[in-house]
Amino acid sequence: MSLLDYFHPLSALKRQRENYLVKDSLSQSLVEPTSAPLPELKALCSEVTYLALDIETTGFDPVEDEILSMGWVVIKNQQIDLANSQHVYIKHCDKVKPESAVINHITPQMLANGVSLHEAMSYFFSQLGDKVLVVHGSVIEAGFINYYAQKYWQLPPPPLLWLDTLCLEKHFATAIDHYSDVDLTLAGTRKRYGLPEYNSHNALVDALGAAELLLAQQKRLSRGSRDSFARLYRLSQKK
Amino acid sequence: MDESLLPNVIQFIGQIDPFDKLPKAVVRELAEVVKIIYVAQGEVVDLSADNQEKHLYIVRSGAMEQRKKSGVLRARLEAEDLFGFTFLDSDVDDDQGYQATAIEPCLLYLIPHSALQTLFTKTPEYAEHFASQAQVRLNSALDVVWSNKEKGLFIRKVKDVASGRIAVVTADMSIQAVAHEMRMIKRTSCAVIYEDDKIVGLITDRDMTKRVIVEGYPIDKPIKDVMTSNPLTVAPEDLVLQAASLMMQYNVRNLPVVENNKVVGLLTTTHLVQNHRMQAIFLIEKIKYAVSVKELATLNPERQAIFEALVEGKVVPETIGKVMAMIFDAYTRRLINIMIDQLGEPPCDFAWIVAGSHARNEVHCLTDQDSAIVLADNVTENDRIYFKHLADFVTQGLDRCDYPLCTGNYMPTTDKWRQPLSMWKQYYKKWVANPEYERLLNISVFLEIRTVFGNQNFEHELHESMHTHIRENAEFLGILVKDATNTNPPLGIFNSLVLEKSGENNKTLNIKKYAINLIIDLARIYALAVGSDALQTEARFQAANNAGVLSDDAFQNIMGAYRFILSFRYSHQLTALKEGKIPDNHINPDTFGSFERKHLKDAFRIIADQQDAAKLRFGNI
Repeated sequence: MSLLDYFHPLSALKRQRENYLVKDSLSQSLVEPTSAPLPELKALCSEVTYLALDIETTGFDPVEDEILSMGWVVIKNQQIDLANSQHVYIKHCDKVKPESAVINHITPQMLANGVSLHEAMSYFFSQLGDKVLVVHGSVIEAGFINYYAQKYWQLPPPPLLWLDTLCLEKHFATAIDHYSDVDLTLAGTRKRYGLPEYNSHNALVDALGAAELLLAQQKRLSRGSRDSFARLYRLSQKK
Repeated sequence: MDESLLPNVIQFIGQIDPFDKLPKAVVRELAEVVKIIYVAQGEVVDLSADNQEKHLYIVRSGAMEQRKKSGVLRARLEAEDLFGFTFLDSDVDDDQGYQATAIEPCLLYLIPHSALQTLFTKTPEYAEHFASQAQVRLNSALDVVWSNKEKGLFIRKVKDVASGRIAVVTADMSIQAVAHEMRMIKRTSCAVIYEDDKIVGLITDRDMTKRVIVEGYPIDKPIKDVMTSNPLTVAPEDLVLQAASLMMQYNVRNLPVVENNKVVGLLTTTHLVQNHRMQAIFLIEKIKYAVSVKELATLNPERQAIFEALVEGKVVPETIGKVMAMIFDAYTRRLINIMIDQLGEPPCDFAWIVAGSHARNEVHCLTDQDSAIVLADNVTENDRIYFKHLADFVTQGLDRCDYPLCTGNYMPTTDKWRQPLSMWKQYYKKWVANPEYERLLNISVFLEIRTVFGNQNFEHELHESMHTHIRENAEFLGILVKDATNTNPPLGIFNSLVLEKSGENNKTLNIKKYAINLIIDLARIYALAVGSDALQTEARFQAANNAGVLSDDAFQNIMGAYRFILSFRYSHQLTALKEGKIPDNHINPDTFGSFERKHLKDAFRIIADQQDAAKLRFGNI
């Protein structure tokens, strides 16, 4: 491995993962998302499978506020497959214990009525698996996920493979004009790419919005989707 | 997925034709299996790649285009447009359109072929909405917008109204035998008289009363002594309105319905008055008895009301054009007669001919005057003054009746268009021999002529000499084709970001210039190519189809496109009339629903295809 590769953020994440140990049976769903092999440095953007996530919360503070719903869509072979999209409402009234959250046992009825936060998290991680987690502005999602891992699983922030479309966009914008003042919100960014305006918003619609944006951003890279995932990942790191 | 989960996707798909015809639950099911892809500008979507699953593509945003192998634009696709239809029909062997290129970055929704097949297997009636052939889609469009229900009587066909009860006798039968046949055998008021397989006469019970009983004519004499010779007849396909107009014009009460020299029925006044109000007939009747231009002009609102009723009554466009042409004819004839009453009988034989859309019986509420006078060759200088007055009076009169003067001055008020027959023949000869610039314009106006008043033989003679010249001048058709295909249908009209070929980005679509005229031009070329005298666009394509020059499929396609566009224009004009605006041919694409957009674009593509075909066949360029 070259020195340059060693310092590649993807390599750094790999080392982080090697040191991250999920021991608790409660957090079994986190095993794959934190230990699955990362894409090779030379893997193409188009060869990687993504899961775009959006969560709706009552506020910005993971400690004080609650997650209301989570929505995600899967991008595989450069296609967003709505058949694999999911929208989960979270019920906060009943006090379900973390122990009662059983992976993969979520039925459509449960989804319609809402599930406990623990069920939702377990379900989400099981669906995430080895996919790349895509969000637009990862601060909130990361904050709530890290807080959850810490509070209920007593784990440090999980070394997930995040890809932030907002950071990517910021990179594109500053690459052209360092002082440019561009609208980096999801809606504003989508508009620049000529992506349709979505009037209704929920976690799933915004997850879809981020997924579509990622497809558009990939095409914007110099070699399009033939570009390497590693490059995309590096560009999406916060500066 | 819950209904509220992806409202944006479901809503978008649900409003697009043909998905808007499916139940909400079905749309939701389909939305659940949608795949979404993003294609960058210049990227090609290859629908013919074997290894991947086939999809129906919906453009969510952006613009794409499909080109033929020759590089000619086949279709421009914008938001809400679909492509990949051909894969829904395994029989279609279409080597075109398997590729689409993004001309702007596009977000595409993909609906798996398999999901649609499952749907069609479950509910076969949905399949029609998704038919791959543009023509089938256009036809289903016509069904939706223009149902055949509740048509007024006058726009129905003679065969739908006439009775089959008519006596058929021979000329040498005795009067009594004929009367017996009429009263006792057929119980009809009318008999058609044959001699050597030809219809030679007609006799009615009223004729029997007037000519036999009142005159005391011997009833053992042959019927031919008292019959009406060379009777007027109608064809089963004629409009009831035409038949009724004939009855009034010639004051007859019985019209035998004849097909291929065979009597198939009888149309009587009784059939017409049974329980129908025939607005157009009443108007024509009023026109006939108007005594002044002023009085004629008061009838304009009634004419507009009839036009509106026809459009709202979802009458086929061909019929609307015909009915409006009959009314136009009536105005013209009445004005000529009013002037003859004032000036005295014409000093020599003449014909008042109409040209263009009026001649083609394709009149709408914007049709202006295109007319001319053909004079007998023995016309004197003095006589000419008479016709100059006649021309002035009639054209001005029509103008006051809201038939605008022709901006190109194709009217007999122009000396050039008020000439003896021999001069007209020379015109045609010159035009055909050297169809350039103005001459090409002139001939394209006068390629269609129809006599509205006066000697019909002039028109026939002109037609004949025109066909002769065209046959003798092989290049003529090619030049006509070249001219007719100079203008192309606006395949990209719906996307303001896509520049039109002309380079101009007009906000409205001139549907006459960019669609209707193109079809009319094609029909004219086909009619001339097969030497047909048919004037109506539909009849011309039919003639070309009968002659084997136009394939059945192409014929159906172009007819579907033509009807759709005409109906579309009629409705556009109706809307303008209702809003108290002046109707025009300029249509704002923003006002189109998804349904109209899609079908207009199908129609445009069909026109473009036909233009190409005409170029290949007749172009010799």
